[in-house]
Amino acid sequence: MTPNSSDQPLLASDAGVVTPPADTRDPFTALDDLMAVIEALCPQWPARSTAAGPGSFRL
Amino acid sequence: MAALSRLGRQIEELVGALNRLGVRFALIGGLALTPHKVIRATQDIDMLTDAISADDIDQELLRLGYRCIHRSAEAGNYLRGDERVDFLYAHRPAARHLLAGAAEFTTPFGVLRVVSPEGLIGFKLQALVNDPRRTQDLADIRALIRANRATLNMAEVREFFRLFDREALLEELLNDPE
Repeated sequence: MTPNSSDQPLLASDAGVVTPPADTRDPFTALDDLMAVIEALCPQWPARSTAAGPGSFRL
Repeated sequence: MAALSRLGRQIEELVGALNRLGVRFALIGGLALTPHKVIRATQDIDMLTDAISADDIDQELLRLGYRCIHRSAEAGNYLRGDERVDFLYAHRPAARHLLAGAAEFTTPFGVLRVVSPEGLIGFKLQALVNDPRRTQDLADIRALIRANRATLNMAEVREFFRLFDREALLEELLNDPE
């Protein structure tokens, strides 16, 4: 691939290739597989904000 | 088929408990993106339920070992170790309508209901308006529009953006280059 080739996706930070999920798989099974991999890499979730504060609930 | 992931097992347990209680609920938040052609990792389980079920759910979650870290008329947040479950309580017509219209899916985590993509956009917009630092919600709205543009009920989507005085943001999103 030459530097100016326009027929190949550019691989760079925050500019990854967008690949829609294959529609032949159950999406929840795909999510479960994804989460299993992520949890193997990150067994303990990092701490996050404790609760939603007061807000404008219109729905 | 049993869930492989810890999050999946957490959903399975929660869905089983809510079904045994006989309360009406539907997935919202990052998990609810899944059947709407957007699959991404998420740490939390977000549910919409009838406001009238809040006390019963609170008791059940305490029994399952969660502790309540916040509860108001609008929402409840629960934590068990690093596992989090958030509930929005539907008591206005819009949320009750979205809860009633949630579609049912058979998943590895059990049979559960998920709000429509239009409704999900509405809830994510509400979260974004309440905390503009939540850039993930904006990314999710953009992804939902891109993935479902041909089938979205745009009149309903526009109504949500109008409700939150963000019509200009919708125009920006619709004019976004792919």
